[in-house]
Amino acid sequence: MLRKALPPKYAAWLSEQNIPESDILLCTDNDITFEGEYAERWVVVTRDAVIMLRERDGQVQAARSFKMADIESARIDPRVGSGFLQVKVHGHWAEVARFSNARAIWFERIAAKITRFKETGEIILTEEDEKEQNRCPTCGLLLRSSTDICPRCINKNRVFGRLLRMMQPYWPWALGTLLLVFTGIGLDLVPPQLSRILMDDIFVHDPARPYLMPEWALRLMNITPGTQMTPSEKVTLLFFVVFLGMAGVQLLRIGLNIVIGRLSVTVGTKITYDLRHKLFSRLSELSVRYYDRHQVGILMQRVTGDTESLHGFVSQSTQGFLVNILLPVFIGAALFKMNPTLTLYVFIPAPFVIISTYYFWEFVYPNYYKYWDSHSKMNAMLNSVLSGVRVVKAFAQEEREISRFNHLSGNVQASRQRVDKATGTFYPIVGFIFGLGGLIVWYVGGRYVLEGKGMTLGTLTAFTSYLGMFYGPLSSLTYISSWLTGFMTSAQRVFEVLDTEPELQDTDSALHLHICRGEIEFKNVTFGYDRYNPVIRDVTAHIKPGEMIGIVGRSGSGKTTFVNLLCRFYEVDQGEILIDGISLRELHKDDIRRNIGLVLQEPFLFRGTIRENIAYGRPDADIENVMKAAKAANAHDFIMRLADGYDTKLGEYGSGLSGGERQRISIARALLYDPAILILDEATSSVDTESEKQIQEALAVATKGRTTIAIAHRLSTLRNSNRIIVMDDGRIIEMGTHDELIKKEGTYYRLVKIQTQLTSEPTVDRLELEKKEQEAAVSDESSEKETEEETEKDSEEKTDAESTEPSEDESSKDSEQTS
Amino acid sequence: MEESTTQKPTESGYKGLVFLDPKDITIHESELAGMNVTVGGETFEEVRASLALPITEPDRYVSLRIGASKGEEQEIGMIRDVNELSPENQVLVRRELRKRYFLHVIYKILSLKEKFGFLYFEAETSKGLRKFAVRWEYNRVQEYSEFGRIIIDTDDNRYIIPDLRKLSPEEYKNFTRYIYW
Repeated sequence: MLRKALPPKYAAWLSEQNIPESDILLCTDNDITFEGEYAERWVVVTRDAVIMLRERDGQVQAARSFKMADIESARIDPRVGSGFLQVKVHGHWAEVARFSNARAIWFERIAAKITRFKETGEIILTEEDEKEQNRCPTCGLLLRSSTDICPRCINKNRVFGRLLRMMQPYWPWALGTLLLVFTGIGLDLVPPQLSRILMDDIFVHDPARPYLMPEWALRLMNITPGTQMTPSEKVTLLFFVVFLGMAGVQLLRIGLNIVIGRLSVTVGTKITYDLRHKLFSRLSELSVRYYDRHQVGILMQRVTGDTESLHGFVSQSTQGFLVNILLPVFIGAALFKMNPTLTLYVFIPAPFVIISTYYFWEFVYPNYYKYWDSHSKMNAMLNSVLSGVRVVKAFAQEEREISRFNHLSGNVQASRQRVDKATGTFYPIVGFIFGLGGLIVWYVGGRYVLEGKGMTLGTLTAFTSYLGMFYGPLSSLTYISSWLTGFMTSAQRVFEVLDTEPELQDTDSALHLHICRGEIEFKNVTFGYDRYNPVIRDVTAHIKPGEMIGIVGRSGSGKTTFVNLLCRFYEVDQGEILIDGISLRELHKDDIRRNIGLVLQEPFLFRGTIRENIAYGRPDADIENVMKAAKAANAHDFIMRLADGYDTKLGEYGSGLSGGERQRISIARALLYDPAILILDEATSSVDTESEKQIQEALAVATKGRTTIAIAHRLSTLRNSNRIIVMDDGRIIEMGTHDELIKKEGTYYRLVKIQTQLTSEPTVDRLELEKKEQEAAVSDESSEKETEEETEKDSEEKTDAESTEPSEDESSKDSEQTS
Repeated sequence: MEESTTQKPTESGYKGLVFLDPKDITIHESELAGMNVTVGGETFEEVRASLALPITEPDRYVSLRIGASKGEEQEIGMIRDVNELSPENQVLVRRELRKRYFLHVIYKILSLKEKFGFLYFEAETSKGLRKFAVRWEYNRVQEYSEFGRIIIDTDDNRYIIPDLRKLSPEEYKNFTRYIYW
């Protein structure tokens, strides 16, 4: 919490210092000392100071105190396992408090709040600020992520009810299945009763006892009830009981199983299909920010694995779980009806079976996990080594990889052995306990038979037949709870996605943009993927229709975020973006994207033909338009050289084509889409010089007549731009034409100079710069000195410019240099 | 050839690895953050220390770094062995290293249970009795030198078992029941 109640002694200390409670803006406890020992510490932020309080020798004292007036900003300095809250005082960072990672989230928020306070003079606390991450808000159980479902608090009834509602369209099938399940259980009870008739009516019939076979059935077989059966009548009865009774029941049971299986598959697959459809539709609607927060692998698991578990639920419910619950109940009733006393003996092994099964699962579950885990690791290792087999061979590391594989394979073997040995030991023991139950029944029941205590041999046989059917489901009921929990969690994960409202939704009054001129305006736009760390800061820019704008800047300077916001992949935190004078918030999302074409650094091609890939944005486009777009994108000729031309099937991510070829297809795709605004995000940075030349030619055609925003590291590609925006640390630091920026001799000038020096080819820039340097050489001495300093500075930057991926830290370095 | 020569960072142009001569280093306590380090007559402020091999060589290859607060971190140079420094300097470097690494050494595992995919530990550690939870995943418990393990809890706090062989048979059995890798 960011505003915790101070313990009385600390509150008293503040009071002694004449700091009223109303002055406290933030207050939270801390857990470790600067030396890294656990101890109670409190950090208090008031309007006038940031104070860290501690208790020493029973006295509260301010271990650190900084006047708010001296503080410029605050930050977290993360270390390994802990971090420091620091404030910037007179240009230097000073440590206020040290905290373990358990407290990191609160101190991150405090640092952001102090900085915001210095900027705006106020601290606003929201509900979100007080939320603890990765803990269930109800029971406090740790979760894997803040969006994960708490397996303990999951409302099983609610989920179950929702699942039943999902089954509603299929209720006739579901009801039918249920009826058949009941019928099946009824049928299962019949064979032991028939065996009882076999024993008591046919083999060892006591004349003093009436037949078990109903009278109507005997009459049907031309046997007179109430009289002693002749041997031929017994054979007739035997025939009926064995062939019509037992065989008939078995046939019926098989038929029922087939129908139940088919019905449950029908219902299960239909529900799974519906769910997958709903899930994918919802995932398609969710914003890019949602995908920033969730791993694609986990989402894929939800669409494939979790929905599949629903299928498992339906089939388990009908064939396993439901039967396992109902069968012991029905059989218990049947046993009780036959002989209540003997039934009590049946229950003797039951506690042993239940308890031992519980402990068995307690032991075996972690071992199962180890087996799954070791197996997946072995697969992952295989995948990585076989994919990178060239590297393995090139570095002659085959032996080492074999040894690694053997180690992992050994883990699989050991864990599998442990599971199988446990299973192989447990089940015979359980079998023995069951057998023991049978022995007890045989012995006690046998004595009843021998002593004539109201039990016949047939009843005893039926009794023992029922036993197997009683103990089996009983033992499986012990792990139904964990199975049900796992299943409910899966279901809830699915529902969680379905319940996520798309962040960027069109309002009812959203406007359509049928004809777009391509005018773009950024008005004081501020945005951060994390609200406390803006990556775009107060950006204002106006781009005229048909203008070509180049954006340059180091990695992390905000270039890609600039275009992400224009596409409305994210909502701006402050300010607004307008297209043709209309705010993006007021426009239909589809219309925005319909008018923006995107060519990315890594062109993403889908599995399918080249034609399908080019026509991705306009599936209805005829082949002639597809070819025209390909021709304009300089792709037509290489496509025609392929054996299957436009029908060439591409593999995953467009495998089978070179990087340059894939890029030209993506440009053709953008051209066919015919957008008013074209965004080129490092479109040529990952291809060779020859491909770049061809792509540049294609882009010259593509950009004609449309507003184009091109992000590029290679500045030569931006020479045709009407204007160039130079970004740094989320701000626009320079904007103007190439010539204007060269004359300005600012960051752009220096970047051009560095890149010109790096290439041996004579370029216009190079000539311009050489001319400038000659002029500088003949000018006065002071300007010469300046030029030397500049060169020295540039040589330092050169290292950065050579690096393709300068870090975020480097970008802030540039910020300080240029400011 | 003697590599252990101190070069001033400005002279070296930050190119190549610079090993600092322990006799050539003077370290002072800083009032704000980090240490003040004088190397070859030049003083650097807000100097941080970090280990190149924190697990396998916790006393060797200490990197002294500046500029972290400005986001342009650079290495002044490396100390091959902390023990080669003067006792006063050793104290300050070790203190700075303690600031960088916040670790718990597990002496005894009192209890270890699994629930809902988390492992719940109760252990006697170098920082007292601790109860912590760890996601039951491979990347949360890693090897630490040859026979040890490093455990990262749900708050990203770090717990070290220096040598599994020194656990009691019962602790070892319980530990490897869940963490066999």
